Amino acid sequence: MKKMQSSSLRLEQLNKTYDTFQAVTDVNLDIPGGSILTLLGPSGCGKTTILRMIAGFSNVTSGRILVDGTDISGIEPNFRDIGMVFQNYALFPHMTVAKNVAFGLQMRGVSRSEQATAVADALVMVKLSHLADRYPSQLSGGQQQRVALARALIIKPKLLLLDEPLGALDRHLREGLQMELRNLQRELGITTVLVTHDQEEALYLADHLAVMNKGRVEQLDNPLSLYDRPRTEFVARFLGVPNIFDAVVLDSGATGTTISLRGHAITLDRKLGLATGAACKVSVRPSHVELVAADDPRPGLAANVVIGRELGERTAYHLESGGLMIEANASRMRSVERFAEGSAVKLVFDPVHTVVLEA
Amino acid sequence: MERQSNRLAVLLTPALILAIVIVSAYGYFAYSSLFAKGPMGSGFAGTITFENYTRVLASASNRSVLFTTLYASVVMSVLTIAIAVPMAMVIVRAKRQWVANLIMLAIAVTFLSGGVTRAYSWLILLGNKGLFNLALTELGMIERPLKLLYNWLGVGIAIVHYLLPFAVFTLVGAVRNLNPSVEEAARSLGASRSVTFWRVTMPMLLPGLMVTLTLIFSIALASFLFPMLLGGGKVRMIANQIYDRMFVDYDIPYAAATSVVFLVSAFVAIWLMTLLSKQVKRLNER
Amino acid sequence: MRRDLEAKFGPVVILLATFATIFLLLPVIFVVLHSFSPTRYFQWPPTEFTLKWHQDFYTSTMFMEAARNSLVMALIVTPLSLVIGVPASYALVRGTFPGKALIQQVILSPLIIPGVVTGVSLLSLYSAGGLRIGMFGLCLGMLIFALPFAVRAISANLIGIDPRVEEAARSLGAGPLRTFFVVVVPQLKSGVLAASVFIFVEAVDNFSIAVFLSNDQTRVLPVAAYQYIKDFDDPTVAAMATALIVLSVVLVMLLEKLIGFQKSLRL
Repeated sequence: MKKMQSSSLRLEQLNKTYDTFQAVTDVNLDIPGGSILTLLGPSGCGKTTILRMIAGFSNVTSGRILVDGTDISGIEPNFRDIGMVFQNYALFPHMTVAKNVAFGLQMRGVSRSEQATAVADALVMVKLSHLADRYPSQLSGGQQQRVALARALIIKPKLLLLDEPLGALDRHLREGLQMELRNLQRELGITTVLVTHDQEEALYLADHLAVMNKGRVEQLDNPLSLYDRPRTEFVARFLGVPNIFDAVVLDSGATGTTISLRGHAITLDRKLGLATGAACKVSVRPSHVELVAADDPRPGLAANVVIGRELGERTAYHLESGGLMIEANASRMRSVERFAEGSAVKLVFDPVHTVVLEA
Repeated sequence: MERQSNRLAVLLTPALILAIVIVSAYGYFAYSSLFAKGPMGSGFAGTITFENYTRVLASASNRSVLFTTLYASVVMSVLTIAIAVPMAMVIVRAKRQWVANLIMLAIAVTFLSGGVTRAYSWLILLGNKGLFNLALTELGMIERPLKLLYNWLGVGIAIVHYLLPFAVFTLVGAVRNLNPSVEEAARSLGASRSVTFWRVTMPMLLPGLMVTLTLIFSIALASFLFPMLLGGGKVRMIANQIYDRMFVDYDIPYAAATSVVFLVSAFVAIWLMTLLSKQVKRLNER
Repeated sequence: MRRDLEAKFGPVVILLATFATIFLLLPVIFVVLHSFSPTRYFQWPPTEFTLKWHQDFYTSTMFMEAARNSLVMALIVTPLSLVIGVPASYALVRGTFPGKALIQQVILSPLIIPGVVTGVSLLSLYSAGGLRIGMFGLCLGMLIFALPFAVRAISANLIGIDPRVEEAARSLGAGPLRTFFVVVVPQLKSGVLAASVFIFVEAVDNFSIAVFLSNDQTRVLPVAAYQYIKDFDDPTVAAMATALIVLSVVLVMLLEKLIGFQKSLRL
């Protein structure tokens, strides 16, 4: 299949209310043509509702959905030219793979011979040419997913919407399909919105990643920044940070900020808009907490090893410091000292990766 | 789909016309219960009166027919369930598929063969020279034929037989939802088959049993053909009473009042059963 | 479905189920045997075999007229109840509009209200409205009686269909009407088939409503059989029963062939 049009998508002050329940609140997103926006969040956070509003299955309560600058929010779904891959794929159970894929072209009155060529091309693209005459019930989950993708792409849509497209597949299959999906999207250059609750999938597939909570976008960023610099506690927790601590700002300077974590001072090389003496929360990933011997000269937080487990390439520690539970990872590839359970150690926090969260 | 879901009401138009016809029929009939019997050829006449209701409720024979109908329907429904449970268990859990298919086929054919057919068949089977009496006489177990027809026994057998397919169909779903591992757990903990059945299977099945009971009870209440053909005038259920008011006495208002009283007591009985099954369900979930 | 090698019930259950199945089949098998019996009463072992009663049934004007009436009525009522029932079920399952629950209750009410009451009510409404008992009134009554069966079967079928499949069709460019006919209707095949068989049989078999809504000209089979049983006492009715049983066996086999038993169970 050839490169497709790269339409831009813009959501302006989007709101959705069901009776008394506010499902989506003031969502503003701007996605340049050809990139992937991923909406990540727990179930019920409003991510699927946004997708359904873009597709035209849910009415917009207020706000606008602009595709290439035109508001599409009043248009019937069948006139939107948006391809969608549904959760569980929603294939037509009474049609063969080829008929499923051809459906969109049939609706557009494309001639039979053109349909046949396009279907053949699309099936080559998703490597399913040999299954054209099968029915969906005769296919594996991964194969169904490819049919759904081919069916959505054959109409050369302005946007591709993916609703948990890999959620029903097992882990091994999912990783392979993630890669294929990514390559295909790059190749076709199609603007894509993906909804998922799986953070790894989100990090892998997104150009722009929006973490959602209770109908709002908590943070929109590129995946790496989001991973390294979660802005709120919710984002940090959702991206799997176990260490979130209460801290106090000791010194708020022009070039750096010093915070105190249980009396242990950490100096961050960033200016934060926080007053001296203010309480804050910090987040730090286990791999950015270094364990050193208790008599190490470097400053650190004294702690005791509660559990230490070898997990293949790393050692996972659970530590305790004055009632505070802390997780730390030590790489086993670098030959670092191994601490026994019960031993006293010192924890050194990597200042670059210690993040002060917004209240 | 949300955007069109409120427009869908248009599709109901023809069904709604039928609904209006039936509501007016029920309404008009209930309304007629408030008047006196009209002269020949007309339905009812006069001014509003509750006399028909006092007539229905004052008559001892009416009360006894009503009570018997409710009571017999409960008994027949419970019996039907007792027969249906093993059938449903075998259908769902038989290790050989053909056994399940055979029973299903038997149920389907019986179900579709119709009420009149079955009523007639019982008439012959249960008669003085029918299969049962003949067999029992041949075997020397009885000297004179047993009276199986024109009493509650015969009517009851026929109604239970009529209810059985409904009960099995409904129970199959309930049995299918049982998780066999729970019973396996009971067995591995030392419970015998019968203890497992009564202490584990039955309690898990109870909500399904109650739903089935309510369904077949409401079907049993409406019995009309079986008491009419097999009851020989001696066994009367409320539907027969209504029919006679209509076609023997030509008294529409009286028939209507009888129907209203019948429906009210039937709904109360079904409502009580639903309440009970909700209670059972709640107990089960605790 | 998971089927273990070890059956989950003991011999007692098997014994009870066997008895129950015999009890179930006894009248059906017996009435067929009886239709070939030379005497009016039961005889065992059967000494002779006669087709007299079958001959009588197929040559009786009363039975043949009744059979024709039943057939005409069922052939009108069955397709009509589905043509009305399919869109109605779709609206009731997929729609959200005020009064939905009430409308559903009213449409399904003839399932709960005893047939005799429905029959008498319609009869008194007809006579109040000046509608004489005839084919129209009979079919209207049967349609009202059959619609709940259609709505129940089609609704169960619809609930089993993923609404996202319809959304997929919409996003691929199909309008609402086209989606309904190209995507929804084909998936209703099993529900429609099962409901057709069921409604056809129920319409032919119905006695409690038909007895009020038919007269000498529009007498249907069950009513004819009832009158015959009352007035005469010979196995001609057994011959009729045999015909109906054969019909139901054929229909069951047809259903099994087309959609399989398990699916037709949803009624």
